[in-house]
Amino acid sequence: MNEILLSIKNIKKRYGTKEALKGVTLDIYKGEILGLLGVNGAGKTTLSSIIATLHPPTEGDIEFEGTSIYNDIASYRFNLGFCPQKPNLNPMLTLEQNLRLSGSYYQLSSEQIEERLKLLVEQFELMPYLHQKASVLSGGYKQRFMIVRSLMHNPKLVLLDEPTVALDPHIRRQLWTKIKELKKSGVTVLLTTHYLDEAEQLSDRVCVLDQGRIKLIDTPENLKADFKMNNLEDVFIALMQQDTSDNIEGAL
Amino acid sequence: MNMNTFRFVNIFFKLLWTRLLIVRHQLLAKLINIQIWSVCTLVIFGHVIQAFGLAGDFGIFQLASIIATAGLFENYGNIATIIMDFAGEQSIGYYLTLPATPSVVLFSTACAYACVGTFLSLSMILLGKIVFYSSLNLASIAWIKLLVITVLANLFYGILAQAIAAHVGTVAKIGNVWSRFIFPLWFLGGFQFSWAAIHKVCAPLAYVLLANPITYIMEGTRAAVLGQQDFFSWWTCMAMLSIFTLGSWLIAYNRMQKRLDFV
Repeated sequence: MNEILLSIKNIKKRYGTKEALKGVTLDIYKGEILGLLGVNGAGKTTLSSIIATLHPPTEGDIEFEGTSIYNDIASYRFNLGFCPQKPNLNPMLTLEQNLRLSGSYYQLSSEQIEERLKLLVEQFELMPYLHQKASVLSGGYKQRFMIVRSLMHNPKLVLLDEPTVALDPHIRRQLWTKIKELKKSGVTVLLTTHYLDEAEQLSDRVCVLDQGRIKLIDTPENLKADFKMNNLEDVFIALMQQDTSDNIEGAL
Repeated sequence: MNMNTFRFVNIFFKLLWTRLLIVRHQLLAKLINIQIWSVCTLVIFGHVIQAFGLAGDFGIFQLASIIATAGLFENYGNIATIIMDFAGEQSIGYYLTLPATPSVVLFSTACAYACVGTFLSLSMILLGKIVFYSSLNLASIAWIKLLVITVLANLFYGILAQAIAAHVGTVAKIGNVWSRFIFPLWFLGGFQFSWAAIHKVCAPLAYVLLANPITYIMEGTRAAVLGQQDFFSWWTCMAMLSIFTLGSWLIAYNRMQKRLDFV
C-alpha cells in the first residue's frame, strides 16, 4: 500500500456565487506524479493554488503527512515547492540572485544554497544563463528556472501548474525528461496540465476535474483499458462527450 | 521567541534585502526625478516669489514641506508597481507562498518603500543647503526628531501605497491614484501653509484638516527643521502619525486580503 503524502478532504471554493470547486477529495501518494486534467475552467488552477496555500478553501481541509496544513502553514510550506503558471522570477535580478534569495527565504545556510544551486543548475543545464536577468530568457528556460526555484529548498511535494504551456514541442519534451528525473529523486509531483500526451507520458495517475468535481481518477493504463482506447486523449474526449450527452439527456 | 517567530523575522529581513536589491538600480533615477521637482519649487518659492510680497523665509518653509512629502510623491510609482504586478507577473503570489505570514510580506514591502522614501526625503537637506546656503542653518535642525518623523512618515506612505493599490486594483484605474488620493492628501495637508495659518483664516477648514495624516507629517517635520514655535508639538504629531500608521496598516491588510484572497 502506498503511503499518503497529501490528503485533500472535501475542498470547496466559492467566488461570490460561483462555485469553482464543489467538494474535491483526493489522496496524493509519496513519490508519484499525479496529473491533474480538465478543460479550461474545470478548477485545476484553483485546486493547485489552494494546495500551494496561495488561497484558502471556502470549506474542507488538507492534511500533509496526517496533519492539517492549516495548523502550521509555515511548516507545510517548507515541504512544498510551487511553480505557478506565469513565470514570476524577478526580472531586475540575475537568475543566480533569484535562486540564492529563494534558498535564503527557506532558511538554507550559505553552504546548503551553494550545494543545491550547483546540483540543480547542472541537472537542469542552466549554467550558461545563471548570470543573466530573467527578462532576457526564452519561455522554456524561464520555466526551467521556475522549476529550479521551486526545488531550491528540497521540498517533498512540488506543484507544477501547466509548466509547458505555450512552449515549443521539443522544449516540452526536454522539460518532461526533467520532470521524470524529479520523480526518480523521490519528489512527489502534482502536475496540472491540459496536454493529454504530457499527462500520459509523465503521470502515474491522472485525475480528471470537470466543473469543480473529480470526474475520475486512475492510472493512464487502466483508463485506456476501461475505455478501450489507445491513448489518454481519446479517453478524455470520450469522457467529455459522455458528459455532454448526459447533460442533453438531463435537459430533455 | 519561538521557532516560527524567529523564521518570520529572518524572512522579513531577507525580503527587505530583496526589495532593496531591486530598487538600487532605480535609485539614481528616483533621486534625479525628485531633485528636479524640488529644485524648481525651492528656487521659485525661495528666490522668485518674494517679489510678489511673500515672506523671505518661505523657501525654507517649503523645504521642510518637501522633506515631509518626498516619500508621498514616490508613492505614485510604488502604487503603480503594485497594481501592475497584480495584473502581470504576480510576484506577490510567490512571496505569499513562502514560509511566513502575509503580514511579513506586506510589512517588508512597506519598510522597503520607507527606506527609499527616507533616503529621498533626507537628500533634500543637501539640496536645500545648496539652494539657500547661509539662509539654512543646519545647526538649528533637531536631527533626531527629523530622522524619527521622516522614517515614520515614510513607513506610513509605504503602508498607504498598499492600501491604495489594493483599493484601486486595476491598471485602467491607475490615473485615479493621483487625482483621488495623492493630490488631495498633499495639497490639503498644508504643503504651502501651517495649520496655525489656516486656523486664522478659516477655523472650520483647519479642524477638518486635522483628519488628514499629512497635516501631522508636515507640522512635525517643520517642528524638527524650523523649530517648535508656530507648529504642533512634535510629540503630538508622532502620536497622531502612529495612530494613522496603525489604522492604515489595518486597512491595507484588509484590502490586500480581499484583493489577493491570501491564507
